[in-house]
Amino acid sequence: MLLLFTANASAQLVIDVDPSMTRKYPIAIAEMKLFEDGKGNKDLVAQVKQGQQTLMNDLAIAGIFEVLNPKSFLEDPKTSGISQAQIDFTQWLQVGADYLVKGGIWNLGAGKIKVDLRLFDVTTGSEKLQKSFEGELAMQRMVMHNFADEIMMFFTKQQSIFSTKIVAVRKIDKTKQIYIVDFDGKNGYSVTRNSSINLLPTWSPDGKGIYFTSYMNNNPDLYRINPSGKKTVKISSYRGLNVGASVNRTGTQLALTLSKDGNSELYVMDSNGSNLKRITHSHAIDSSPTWSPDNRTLAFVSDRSGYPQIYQVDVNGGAPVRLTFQGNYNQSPAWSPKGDKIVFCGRDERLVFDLFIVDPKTREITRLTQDEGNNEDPAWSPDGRHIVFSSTRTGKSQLFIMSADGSNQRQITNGKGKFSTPDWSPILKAMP
Amino acid sequence: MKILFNKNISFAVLILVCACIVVACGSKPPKQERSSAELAAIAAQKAEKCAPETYASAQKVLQKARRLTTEKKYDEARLHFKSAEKLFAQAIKEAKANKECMNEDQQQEEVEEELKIVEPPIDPEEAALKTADYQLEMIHFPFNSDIITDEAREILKKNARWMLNFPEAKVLIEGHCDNRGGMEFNLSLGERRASNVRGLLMTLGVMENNLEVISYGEERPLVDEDSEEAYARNRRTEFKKIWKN
Repeated sequence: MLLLFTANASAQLVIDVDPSMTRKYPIAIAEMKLFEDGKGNKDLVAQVKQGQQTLMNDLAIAGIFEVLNPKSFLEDPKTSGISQAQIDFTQWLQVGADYLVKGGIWNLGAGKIKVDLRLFDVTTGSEKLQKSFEGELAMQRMVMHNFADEIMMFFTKQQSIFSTKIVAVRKIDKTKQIYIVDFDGKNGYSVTRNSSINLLPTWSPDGKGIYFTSYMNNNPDLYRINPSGKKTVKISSYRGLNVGASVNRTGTQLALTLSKDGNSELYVMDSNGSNLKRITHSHAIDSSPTWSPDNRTLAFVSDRSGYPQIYQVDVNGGAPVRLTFQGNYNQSPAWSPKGDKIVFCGRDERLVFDLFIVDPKTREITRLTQDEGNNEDPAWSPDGRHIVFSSTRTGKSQLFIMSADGSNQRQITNGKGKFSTPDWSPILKAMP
Repeated sequence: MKILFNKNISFAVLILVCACIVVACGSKPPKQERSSAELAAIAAQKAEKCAPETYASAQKVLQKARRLTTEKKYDEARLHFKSAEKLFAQAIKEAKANKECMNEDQQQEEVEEELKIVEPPIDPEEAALKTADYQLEMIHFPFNSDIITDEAREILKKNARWMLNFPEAKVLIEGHCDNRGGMEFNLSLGERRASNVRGLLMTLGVMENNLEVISYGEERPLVDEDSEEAYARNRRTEFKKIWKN
């Protein structure tokens, strides 16, 4: 709810983005202008429309904007231009926009284009951002994502998610493969291509590796693979379970569940599998570790009380502390990048699985999903503003994203197969 | 009764043969021919009913051959033994050709056999536990539980008995869950189910080295559906045999 917003547009805007903020920024995305030499090109026209759609979708997902309906716009796109002098800002004030995005595209021939994108503050009539790009037509989706990232950087002073990817498990026939999609569900591909069961993928913090468990060697062993699907390295293959790896924020250590000592316990090891250290000691199941952002604490699931509940434990030892006391089936914790929240999946009194947040300090519980199928497997976006999860609300299990307060829920996959256990990549591309 | 009667005859024949040897006949007695004929007579016993005429004449010739032997008319006896043997073979052939008669005979034999089986009562389950291809039965669990129910315990006792009968087989205990709850937690739950079963099998005498454990969590359902019935069937441990070389 904290909005430090000044009327002086030249001052630094700092918005501590709490997605639950009631007032969102009304933003208009004007129709992209296709300059003379591209008008006859149907393919180009379609691409331009798609680019505009991509940008609108990104800003809608962002959670801090109210993306205005283009049907309400007053400006005639034929006569207006994209530079400050060519825009009548009063027309945009009248439709309720505080901010305006304008874009122009030039056809350079041979499949190449030039794109010019701008963000204006409508109230002051000033240009806030300008970005140009020259390259392949096929790159325009990426260009739009990058501009959305820049817009978010302008408002939040934080890197955003529009170049991120999501890794998940996709069940096709009898196999389960590790599968990567863009954060908006597009451009999906299979990372693993074996006939086995591959499970519980998680990104390394540099985005260059994915840890996962596979039965490819007839035991649930832990592997690391490049997102391209090349180079699989075995990390941990103790007898029994080697599952549920969680990488610390510096990428140096893994927490995971091993059952080599006869029962599921938490362990920590170096990211190459060496220096194994046991963390928990109980006859109950201890599983599903997730690191606090300061790398000092693990939240995890234990059924030492009789039913699975969320606990936390110091990585250097000490007695686990119970965090959840409501419900009798709480699992799949994920610690937020800021450290102030742990999202988890709980089974409510109607035996439906939904997502909740527990504050690790106050232990206060907040509900995020309700009355829409079973909702499971939550994971945070790297900026902490979003959560990806799996849901059966539209039938078979698919991936959804939402703002961290549970608002703005959107389905991102709907293809063949069932999707589960997503994990959100770090920010893969440094901002220019 | 038939058998007893024939044994008596054989016994008598034997005595005759011995007597002959003791008497030390001049020319050689037809030992070879006689024993062949006597064996043919035994083999042809079943033909008495279905080829009575040939059988009767074969018997007559055999008796004459025996008499001739006692009278030390060895050469004549030899010829009679040979023709008796042939006649018995003929009788068997004829009896076989008389199918109607043979079938009746067989049925009667089967009835007699059945009557014999009734006597020692063998437990078929016990017998099955002694066969290598006995199917080890899976057991089921309540929701979120690794508790072995009484019903499951009885099944495990049988499985343990098979394992004790076949120590040359290792058994892989697979732990499975229904698809509710987190996949990660379910891997641990499946592991605990399988480990618990291993513990019980060990208390029943199965060697630890012969028991392997693997958890598949919710990854390999028996019934890939969402219903209470499907869930109940999927919460289980299965047993796979691994034969040592």
